[in-house]
Amino acid sequence: MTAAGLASRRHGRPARALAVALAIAALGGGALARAAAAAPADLLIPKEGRLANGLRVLTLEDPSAAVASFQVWYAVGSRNERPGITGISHLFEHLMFKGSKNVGPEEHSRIIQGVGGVENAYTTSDVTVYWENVPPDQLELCARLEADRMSTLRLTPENLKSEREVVKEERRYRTDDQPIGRAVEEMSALAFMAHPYQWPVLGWMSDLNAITIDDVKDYYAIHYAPDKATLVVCGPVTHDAVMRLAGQYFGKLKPGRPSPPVSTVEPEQQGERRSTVHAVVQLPVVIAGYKIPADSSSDAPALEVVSRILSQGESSRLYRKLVYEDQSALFAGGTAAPSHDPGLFYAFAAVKPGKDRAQVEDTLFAVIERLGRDGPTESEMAKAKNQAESALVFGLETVQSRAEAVGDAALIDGDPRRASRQLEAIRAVTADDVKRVVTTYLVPDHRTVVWVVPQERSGS
Amino acid sequence: VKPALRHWSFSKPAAALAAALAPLWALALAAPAPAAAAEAKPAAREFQVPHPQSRTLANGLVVHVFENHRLPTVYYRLLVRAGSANESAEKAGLAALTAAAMRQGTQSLSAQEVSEKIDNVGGELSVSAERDYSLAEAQARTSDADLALTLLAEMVVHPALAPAEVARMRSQTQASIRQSRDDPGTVADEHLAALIHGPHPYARPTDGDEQSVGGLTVEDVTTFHATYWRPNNAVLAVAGDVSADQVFAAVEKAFGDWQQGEIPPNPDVQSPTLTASRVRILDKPDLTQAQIRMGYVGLPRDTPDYFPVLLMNYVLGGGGFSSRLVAEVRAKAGLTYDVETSWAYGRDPGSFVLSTFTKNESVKSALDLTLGVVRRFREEGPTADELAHAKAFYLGAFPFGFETPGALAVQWLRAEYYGLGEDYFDRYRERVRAVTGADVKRVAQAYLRTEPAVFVVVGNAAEVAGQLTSFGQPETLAFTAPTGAIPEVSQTVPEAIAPDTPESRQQAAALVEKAVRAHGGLAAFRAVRDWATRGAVSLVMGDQSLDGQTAEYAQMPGRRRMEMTVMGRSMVQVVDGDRAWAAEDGQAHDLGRDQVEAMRVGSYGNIVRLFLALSDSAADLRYAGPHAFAGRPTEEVEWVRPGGKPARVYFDAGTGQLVGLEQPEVSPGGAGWVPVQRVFGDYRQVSGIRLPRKSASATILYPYRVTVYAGGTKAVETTLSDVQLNTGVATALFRRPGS
Repeated sequence: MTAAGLASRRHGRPARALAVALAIAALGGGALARAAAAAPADLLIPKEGRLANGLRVLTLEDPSAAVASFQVWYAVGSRNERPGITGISHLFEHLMFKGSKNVGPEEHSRIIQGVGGVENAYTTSDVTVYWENVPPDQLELCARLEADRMSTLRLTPENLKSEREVVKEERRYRTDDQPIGRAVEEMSALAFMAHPYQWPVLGWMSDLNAITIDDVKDYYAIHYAPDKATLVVCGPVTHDAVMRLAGQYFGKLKPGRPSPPVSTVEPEQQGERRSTVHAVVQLPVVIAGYKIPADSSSDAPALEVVSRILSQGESSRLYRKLVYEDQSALFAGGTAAPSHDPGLFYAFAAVKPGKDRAQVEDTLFAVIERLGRDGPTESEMAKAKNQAESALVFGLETVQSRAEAVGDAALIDGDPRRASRQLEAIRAVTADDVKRVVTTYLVPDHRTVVWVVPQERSGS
Repeated sequence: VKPALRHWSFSKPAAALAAALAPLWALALAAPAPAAAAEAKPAAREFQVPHPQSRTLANGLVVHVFENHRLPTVYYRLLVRAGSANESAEKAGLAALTAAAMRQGTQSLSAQEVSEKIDNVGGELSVSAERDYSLAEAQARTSDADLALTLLAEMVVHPALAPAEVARMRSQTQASIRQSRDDPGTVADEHLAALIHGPHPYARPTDGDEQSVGGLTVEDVTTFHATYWRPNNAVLAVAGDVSADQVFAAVEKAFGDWQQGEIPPNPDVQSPTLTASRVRILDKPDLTQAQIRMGYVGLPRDTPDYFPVLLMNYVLGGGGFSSRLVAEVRAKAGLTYDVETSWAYGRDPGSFVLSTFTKNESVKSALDLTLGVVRRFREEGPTADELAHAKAFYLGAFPFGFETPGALAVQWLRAEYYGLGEDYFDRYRERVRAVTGADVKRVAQAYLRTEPAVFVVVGNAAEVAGQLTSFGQPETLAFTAPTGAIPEVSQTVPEAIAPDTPESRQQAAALVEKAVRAHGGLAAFRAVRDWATRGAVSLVMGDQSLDGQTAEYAQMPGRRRMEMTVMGRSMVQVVDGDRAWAAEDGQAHDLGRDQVEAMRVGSYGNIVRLFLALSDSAADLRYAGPHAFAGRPTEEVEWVRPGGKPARVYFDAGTGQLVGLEQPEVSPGGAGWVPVQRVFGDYRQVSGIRLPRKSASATILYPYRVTVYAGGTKAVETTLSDVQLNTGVATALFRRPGS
């Protein structure tokens, strides 16, 4: 869902024991989780509408659901930032909870929880998403609260000051004190020379210190407006009812100032780039990022098949070779991280104690190369397609994941109906497509390699 | 990644909401439903948790089926009533390794064949161990329901547990434990649990530690599986797009040949009672932010105070932005990104844990602020508003815990496991509603406190240690140090029985004096400055023994270095006053206070230290009468030590020489404090001592052979080849490498 997979949640803490594996999994979570679309794929076809002020409304009617998900997707993420204010999209996400005209600081969360709802928000390089999961009769409350903070947010120096510190703690927690977090940051910085995907969603520490109240107000005026937002609702509710709510609460809001286009195009990479992060780390980890096209590209489904063949399940190629047969890696995988602009396909492995780093890296790349050279087997193609279909069906279980699939399709791929067509597209992928995308994109010249290795100790 | 569950499968009840909801789907609790507003109106159509159709197979396996045809999916969840809490300390990690190995092939399919089959249909198959129970899970689309069930049954009933696969999973687990040191939060949680639970199995991580896992054998795994994975110890829940009748028939076929077994009772061990706060720092100098934990022993899952505690915790630190802690420490002070309190429940009392993190320099201010909020809440209890809000949350959020059939199945299994009653979910909301402000205030005063408590901080010790002294005297260990959970005396050690009379004391002193004389005289012992010994050591493990070399270097009064090389692995343990470190194959780590204490007690196994201690005029010695020890007539002296169990010293009835020592010590096998007996023999004269005033030399009669019995079983035998006294042992030997 994001170039660097750096979805940064406001108060979700990543599962602990697997901090590292999880950071890695997050790289590709979007690809695998979003998965396919198929027969039940029709359940992902939204009803669409738009208000005069530009607010787009997507509804997934699900009469069988006992709960509902209400989500506001803003087309702004770290790709819309510039040096000097990196991290402002995510910092802004925090400020959205500090109160608006009719709602006190942190009241938003308290009100939603007070009706038995849960809510949160996250920021990626491409989007900022605010969501509430509530009893179905509380959708109006969500609309009222979201419209209030879209239009009357209380942006004060005091709020900025305290929330800036919270975000800095978040950065220390997720990046500075997590070796893999630092490696992922290094990867983006090295892989992208020109495009904004080069900086972290959490922003550089010096920028977090430097962002001013004027920067924040500017950001609000441009990006937080109905014409930049998409409302996605899933639950036992009709599209007409959602449109009425939208009109009632968002209808009066004015469009925002024009958003400066993100026009920078990353130049083609001409050769492998490498970097090493020295850290106090128990196991060395290698991460490779290959340049791949945007998720809206017609090659995206084939790359998803590649992800599954390499990574999904214990019979996948990388697990079988590096973890099971060689027993040289604690974990290994390869997965695309879908993004709005051309992004990265990640391959990674953690080297077990006493195993040879260089050999693990060689094997990791050799497995990928072999897939390009010999292509997948027939049964691997069938397996990947079954996995995609299964992922789609299981992804339909919760209202939140349904809404997210459609939000992703609408904002990352530019077509809300793509969620429902994904499985069909994956079914159409051929073995030759797999060979072609591997040999086109997953090649050494388009690769950036970052190693995290244990710091040399001084003394014995 | 389980797509359907990804938003709800928090493995740690951490973040604000995840924590508040943990009761709902992570732990065995369930949750509430309609909201504040909804409560005011008559709840239009209140969500009801479906009850299963149930049947018990002939072999005792209970099967529940929840039909749900919303989507073409099926979930199988099988709970076995044994987890890491059923392991002994020395086998820590066994339940988890058994689970991991079960997934790696059955008697008819190799590991890769099993994976191929489940992957081919896009299904999932897994086994895992928790503290109290283990879970085997499978899920697939309805079209593949039979395949998933067959694989699950084969895996559960007929796992291969092949040596190569067990070895693979052992190495995998060890690497994973090693890597978990990179997450400061994990390190903090594990040390906190160790210090809170002491001898109780909840002290240990489910995966075990690298060393304990390294010692687990195929036989251990096979035995654990054969003992606990039995149909009469298991419950299967099937949920989704299935018909109950077909499921019962299919399960009968798949699990019908599973044989019953006799299930051993759960271990009966208590978590300790704290008398004073303990503060431990895990030093990781590269950290910019300190992970902070405070906690103590909590409540069992079946506590009658569950609902008042649930609501109390939401208001205090479990309710995200609705909690007082987040409001004060995060939203107002900006000192952290997250602060929360949680109650981990188990079949035995679990723990209360407060966790947060902050930049190094604000550790004290964050802790002071946090604990102040806890104290104030304990005094005040919740406001009416806070309580109403907490209730509204749990009532309204109730259905979220059951959104997928898989979540429903697991919730049901857990509620049943913890004996919460079949009507538990039906009555959940009514119980939430019934809680009063007085109830919450009562449980706050009964269960909340800020001392004595365990404090654990993972951070840069140089920057944080000085900020922690107001909570207790901090001990500092390397962040890679083992948690050092040493079980308390696990077998009965008799209390002092000798008469506390002047006669008894005189007789004891006389016996000691006679022994000291027989071994060379007190002047000779007092003149010992250092010693170095070398020899062979034999470690007895079950019915085999491992042979190796050992050496000891010591300086009086407080330095001691033990070396041992067995099977190509070298181990070193050093005590230097009140600090200690250990190294294995050159990797050094600090030892905690508990280990230092254990090593101090163990040092009396040396005749020089023992005789000097017994000869101290303050030693409380009592004569316990004649006693046969190690097959010889001996005189027994009880040595009563402040705050400890008595030691018993046995002297030869004729010669007066030292024959044996019995005292509680930490067993070499890792079973914790057990009665340890040492039998001394092969006495030889050792010279090298010059007496200070008489300018004469002296000799000591030194035991060249020591046999150690732990918990009644022979554990170690040392046969020395060389003993040197006062040769000038180098101080460098006691210095920790890298420091």
